[in-house]
Amino acid sequence: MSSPAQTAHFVHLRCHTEYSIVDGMVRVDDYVEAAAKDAMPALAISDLSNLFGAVKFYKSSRSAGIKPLIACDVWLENEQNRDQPHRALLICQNQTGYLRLCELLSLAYTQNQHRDRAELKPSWMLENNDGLLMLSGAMLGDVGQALLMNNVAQAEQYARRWLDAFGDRYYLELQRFGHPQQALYENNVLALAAQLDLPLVATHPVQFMQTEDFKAHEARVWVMCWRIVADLSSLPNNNTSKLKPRCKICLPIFLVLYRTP
Amino acid sequence: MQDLFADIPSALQNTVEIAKRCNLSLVLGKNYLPKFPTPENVPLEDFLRDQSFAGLQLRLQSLYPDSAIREQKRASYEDRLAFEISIIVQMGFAGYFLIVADFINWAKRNGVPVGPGRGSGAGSVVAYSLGITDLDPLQYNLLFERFLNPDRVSMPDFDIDFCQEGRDRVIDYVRQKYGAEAVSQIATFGTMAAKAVVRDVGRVLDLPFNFVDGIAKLIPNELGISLRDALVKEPQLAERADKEEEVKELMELALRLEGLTRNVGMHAGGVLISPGKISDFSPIYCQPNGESVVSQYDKDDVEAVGLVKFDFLGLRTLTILAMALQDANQQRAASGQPALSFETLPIDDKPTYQLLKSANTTAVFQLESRGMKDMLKQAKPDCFEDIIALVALYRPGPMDLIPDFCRRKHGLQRVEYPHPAVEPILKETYGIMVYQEQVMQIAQVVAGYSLGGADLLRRAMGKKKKEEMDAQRAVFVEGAVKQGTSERQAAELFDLMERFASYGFNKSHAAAYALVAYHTAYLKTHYPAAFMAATMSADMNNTDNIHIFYDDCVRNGIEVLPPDINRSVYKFKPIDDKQILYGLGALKGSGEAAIEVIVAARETGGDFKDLFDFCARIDLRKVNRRVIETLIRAGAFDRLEPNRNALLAGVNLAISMAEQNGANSAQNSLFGDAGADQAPALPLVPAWSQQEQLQQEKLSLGFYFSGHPFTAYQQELANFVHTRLKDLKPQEQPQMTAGVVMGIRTRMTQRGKMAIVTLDDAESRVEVVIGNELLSQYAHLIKEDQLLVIEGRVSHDDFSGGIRVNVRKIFDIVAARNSRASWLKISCNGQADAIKLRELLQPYCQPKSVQNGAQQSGCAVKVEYHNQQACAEILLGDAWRVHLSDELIAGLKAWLSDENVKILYN
Repeated sequence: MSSPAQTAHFVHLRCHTEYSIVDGMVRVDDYVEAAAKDAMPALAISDLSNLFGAVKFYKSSRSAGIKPLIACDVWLENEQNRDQPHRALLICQNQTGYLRLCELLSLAYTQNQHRDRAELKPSWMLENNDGLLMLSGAMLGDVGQALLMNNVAQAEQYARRWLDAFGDRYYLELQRFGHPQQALYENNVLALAAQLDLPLVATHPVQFMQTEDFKAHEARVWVMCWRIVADLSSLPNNNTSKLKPRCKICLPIFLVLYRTP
Repeated sequence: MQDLFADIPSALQNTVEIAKRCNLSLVLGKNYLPKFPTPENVPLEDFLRDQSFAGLQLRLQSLYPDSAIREQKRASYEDRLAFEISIIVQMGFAGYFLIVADFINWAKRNGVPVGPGRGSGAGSVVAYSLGITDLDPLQYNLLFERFLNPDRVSMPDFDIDFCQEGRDRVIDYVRQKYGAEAVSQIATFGTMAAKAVVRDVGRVLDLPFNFVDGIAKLIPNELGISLRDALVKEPQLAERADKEEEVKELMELALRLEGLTRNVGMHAGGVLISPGKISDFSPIYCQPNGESVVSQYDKDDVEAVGLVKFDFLGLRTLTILAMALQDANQQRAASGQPALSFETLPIDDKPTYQLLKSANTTAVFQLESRGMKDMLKQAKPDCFEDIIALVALYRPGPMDLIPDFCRRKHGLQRVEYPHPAVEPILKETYGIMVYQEQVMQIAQVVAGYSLGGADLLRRAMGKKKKEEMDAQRAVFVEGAVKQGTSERQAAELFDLMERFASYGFNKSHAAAYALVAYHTAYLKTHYPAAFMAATMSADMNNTDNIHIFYDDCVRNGIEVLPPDINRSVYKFKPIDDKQILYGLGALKGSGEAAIEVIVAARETGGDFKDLFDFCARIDLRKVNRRVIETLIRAGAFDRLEPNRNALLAGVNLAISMAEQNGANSAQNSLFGDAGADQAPALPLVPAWSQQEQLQQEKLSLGFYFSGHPFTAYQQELANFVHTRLKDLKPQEQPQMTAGVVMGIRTRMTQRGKMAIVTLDDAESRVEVVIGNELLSQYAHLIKEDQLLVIEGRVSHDDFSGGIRVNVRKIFDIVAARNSRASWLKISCNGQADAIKLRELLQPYCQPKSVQNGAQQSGCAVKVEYHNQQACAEILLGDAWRVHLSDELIAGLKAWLSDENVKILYN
């Protein structure tokens, strides 16, 4: 018999739970339960810009025998254009990293809110990042944004900066959920990874649990945005929705992921 | 995912690698107390001891002014104090007590009213000595172990009540003392509740508002009801979800979203004080403007990560007490009496108990509900212990004990004790176990428990865990037998305790709240105007409550003077011990800032002379048109001009003149010079009818103030409604009565929806019950302010002891008039215009006919005609029977004048 940890091929590093308030509707206990059912050895919570649900997730995972990873999907200030902030994923390796994450988020809320977003200044993360792993944020990260504009030089500059600061704790993120510009991003990011010898990591931004939840998720986003979707039944069940209130696109493949070989 | 990234296996492998690289262990369940800075770094323990003993000295001096008695009592207090200190020190909570004492005493020194205690903390003599609580635990047998149990280490938890307004000042103080980074409040997460989620989803699906509203209203009004429950409880909802496609989609989405976190808020009372930065434990969250700093974790999680929470609760009663006491003391000062203070208020004041016995307790803290009033009448409390017991008993469960309690108190039932040794413990509650403390003491006295052990027993009983209870039972019986009780008696006693422990109440909390209740009752008894003014001032946004308090003032002989633009201030103001001047802040749509502007203008420039003078002298940017209009509607200008309609019509003119005047004032004031002796005139419009005036008043004040809408109908109703509400008595025959609807409550019963409608006829109020069928038939009539004539059966209500009125028939005034009138008599004195008469009558003709098996017909018309020569009375034929609508009557009266149009009744 082998332990689940040895058979694991993939660990979910991204999940917006209901504590992302707008952009996520996964109930923490359901999430952990589903992971336990599929014998996932570890699981991450990574709400948008907060740790609201972190302790609940931590307790719930621990009692289900799953290793909890505390992470946060953070807003990163875009020094060139404050209205187009970047995203990154920070994962706590240990108590030091956790305390630093608490501090960074607190700083973002108290000192650096812009248009209701609490943004981290890149300089804060360059200074002190012990105990934190950084994922590049795929297409929404600074590197990704530059690559989508074919600005390879800029992308490289960003990546080098993080590489210098985080060393082997910096990963370039790959996501495959059918974004129209996926191929462009992927070609560029694979090249960049090869060039700088950076590790790649696959993630999937979970925001809901079941295919049927997709509609509800969309409705919720709209509820919170106070706008009106006239006819939800016209919504396709995949990523081509024209009603995307956020730039994030969601492909409901979460359940598929759990089918262990 | 494996398939998706089969071409890049390292990207998958790295997710596993990352998981391996992370090894975060959160330390949960360990508390980190903030450090209390002592002067000259005296050890915390020594400082606590010094402060406590010094505080006790002061307490003893005021408790026992007679030094001989004081010395006699001293030992018991000092022993208890020393014992408590040793436990506190041993548990490491000296700093906690000092921190709490520090901010409470700061609040007291800085004029923020603080409650005498709350929760189990009132059982500590250390807390009493340090000024944290204001209730002598020894006098009321309050136990320290109920608060801090040496046998079970857990964080102490003082909940502190502050006056609502002062609470933020105390938090500011704490922030300044421990550092802004070390203090925050706590996040709380709002969830999407059943009704809200239905409305939200309805909006997103772009369904019509009324449609969605209809669905949302099907969800029963129960706190915390889930959609799933609603579908079970309201078959109509399930049926529609089943049959209607749109409802089905709405419900499906709503079910998925229900209960999800909807927003981040701030926990009502919790304040965190951290030994370092809050962010060393929890990230913080705040509004974009940097305000409302809260921990990102909710109250459970934030305590789990080690932060210590202090509950700063806002209690409005404290604000009321402080305001009322200030006014009362002004009255006392005027007559040369010394100021009162709550600390020295006698606790056995006869008139106060008289007020309680007569259940005259509207606005009295904790004792004002209808059920509580009924209980007060039965129990007739005559000592403070009775109040404590009533506060503790008035809850679901122990409520069943109230009749026994009352009978025993009044000697109608024998007071029995389950064991002779418990008599001293249960004596104050007439042999009935009411408090958790009593359970603890019984275990101590009968079975030799330590109080700490007894607290564990109490907890076990509360939790009802079988194994734990069996173990405790064995210990108890063994202990009791050792003390000389028979095994059977011990087991019986244990059973009894077990039964009561499940709903026993914390006496410390009951005693502290009983004290606040007593203080309010005392002020209501002796300074009713000051007390009611303060009560109303504290509730100015809720005109329904103002109405209730207003009625109570009237009942207690307090006159509430109408709002007056030249006398009223923002708050309700007691003028003397019998009169209160209406507060302008209680007018709908008037803000504090606007009222302050008005009062300031009056104080600098003297009384306002008229509406024009008023508008000219106030800052119209701060006092806008809406405020002026609401003042007029409320009658605040009556003393300057009684015609409110004219005032309202003149607002535009007054404002534009004031604005013009303002524009001209830079150049030599035109208006001021030339217009001074030639005041502008208000538009000439007729004054409102009384009915109209009342409706307008209600818009502003929220209720009818200067009169009652019933009075307008009274004369006509007297023709056929012979029973006033106050005269309703149980009898077989249905009775007809009438009143204006003042309130409606609906309730679901097995027989469908039922409404309990409060009717008011300016003399009294009666609640009547309207069943499902009538309710749906007359839904259009069952609304507030509607005059209803009802026929109902009056029976004795065993539950409330009063009467119960079951409505059989409902009429509005027109229907009642039509069913009771014999003739409409029209006197045409010289105005024989048959064509005009025909024109007026025709639209309302209702010839005899048979509909639905019942005879339907209009009212017969008699025309009286006389001129100088002769006089005739003609009864018109059945074809000319008419429906007696208000419009018909008004039309006829306009033509022939009031006295010539009469409805005659048999």
